[in-house]
Amino acid sequence: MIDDTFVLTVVVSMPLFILIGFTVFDVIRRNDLSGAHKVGWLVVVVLLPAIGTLLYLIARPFADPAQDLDTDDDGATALVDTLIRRERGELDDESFAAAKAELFSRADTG
Amino acid sequence: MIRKIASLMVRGVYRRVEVYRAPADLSGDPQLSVSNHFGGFADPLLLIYAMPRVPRIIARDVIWKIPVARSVMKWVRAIPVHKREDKGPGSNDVMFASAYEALEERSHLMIFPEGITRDEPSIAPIKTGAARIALGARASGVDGIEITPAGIHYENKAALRSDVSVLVGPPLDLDAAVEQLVPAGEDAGPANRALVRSLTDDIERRLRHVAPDFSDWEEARTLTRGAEMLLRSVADDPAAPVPVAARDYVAGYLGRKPDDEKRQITEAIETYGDALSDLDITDAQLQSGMTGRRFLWRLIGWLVLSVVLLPFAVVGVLVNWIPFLVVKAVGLLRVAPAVLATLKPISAILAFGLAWGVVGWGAFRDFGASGAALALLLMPVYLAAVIVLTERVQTLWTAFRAWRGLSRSARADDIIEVQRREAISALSEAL
Repeated sequence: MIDDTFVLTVVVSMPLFILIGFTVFDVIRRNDLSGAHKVGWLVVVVLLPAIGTLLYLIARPFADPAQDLDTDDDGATALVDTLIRRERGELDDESFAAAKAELFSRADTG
Repeated sequence: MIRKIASLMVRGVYRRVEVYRAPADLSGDPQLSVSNHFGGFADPLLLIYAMPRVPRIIARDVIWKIPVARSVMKWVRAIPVHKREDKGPGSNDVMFASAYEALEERSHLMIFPEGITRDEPSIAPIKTGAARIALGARASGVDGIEITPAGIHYENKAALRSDVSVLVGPPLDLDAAVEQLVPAGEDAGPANRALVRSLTDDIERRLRHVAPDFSDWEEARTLTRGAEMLLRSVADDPAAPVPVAARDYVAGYLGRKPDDEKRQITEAIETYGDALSDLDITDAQLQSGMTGRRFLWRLIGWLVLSVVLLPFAVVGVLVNWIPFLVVKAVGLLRVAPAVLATLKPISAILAFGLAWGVVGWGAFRDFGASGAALALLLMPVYLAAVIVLTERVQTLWTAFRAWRGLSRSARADDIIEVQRREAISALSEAL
């Protein structure tokens, strides 16, 4: 049942097509590339699927891993934000207590 | 390129890597980063990944004696430093000269000012090298030097696929600091010993602020647990995993409290912890809201994923079992955790890299360049399938335990909930 065709289609072609799909999608979606560059990459990927995709993934710029901990879009990061500002001396005792009370009341009701 | 390779390695070696950088624009200024050194080789790897600019690393000159390592060090343009305990001849004039030169080129320089790799949860008194490099470069005319502290927090540095966070603090503006420390007209160079001392103290304080710095492992564990409880209690979704960078920041914040306050904090955490262990449950499980029905959905999700990924995972095991065993064997060595933190990533990278190279070469011989490219594209996919499947088993097991724990403790639910609130309010009080 498990013959060469099965191995070739499932284990080799399928992930390759998914990778190519991701690459095409990524090239089109990126806004740091000019139209000509995008077309260039797409041509390379279509003409040389494996080599083109590998080259693209190597050449693709690296996304900065840094994340914001000091935002208020989640209670957890809002707490970190409050503590960071407290240690920087931006919050006096009163406003720090108020910020804390608000955060932890959210915790009690939620 | 260096950063891309480091990022690939980091993502393979660790499970969750979170980076938090205090907002600051470090793109154009000459920059000297200082970091704690808990993990040997893993530290510079993580810092290359975490910092916006690839740093030139100041490292012990003995590394240049190892054949392959020498080429790597040359390639990343690391700067050798001679340590007295390494014996042999050598002065550090060349090191200082190349460091000044690097800052003159407005590059990013990186040093581990503790001078050694440590297996302690605290920062060793730091050496004066960082301050002397910065002041020396400034004296030779480099302006605008920023000194940036970076702290690396390992969940378990001796284990592959564990969690890591890197916290980068706000930079210290050297020009402003010198202006404040030195009266006009006095020597502001590295020969001014009082200046070197006070700048070193300032750097050390800033490093302690971002790096793990606890009095012992017990305290580190307890405060980390407390930080996790706190964050979970205010999170919008208490069932979501707590971000490790946030957890490590809050744990450090608690650790900087005066001793008597810290005692109260520890007590609150431990009282609640004891109540939890009486019920044989954890705070995460208690807050998970895991019901039988939710667990069942998780299980079904995992089964579907398994069916989809199984063919790839099977291939992944077939092509990767040799490097996997090599890494396992290295893990059995009885050496210090910091040494393992060096050996494990290196052996993993070498073993997997070699295995993939062999497969790639075979594919090249049989099918040409396209075949080799295909092999190099797919090998990581197969390995990822294995990793995803096995790590999902862990999450599934955690979910199962949460469900069991919650249904077991249903009777005591109200009491433990009261105890939890008490602990949280005591902790938030102490913040």
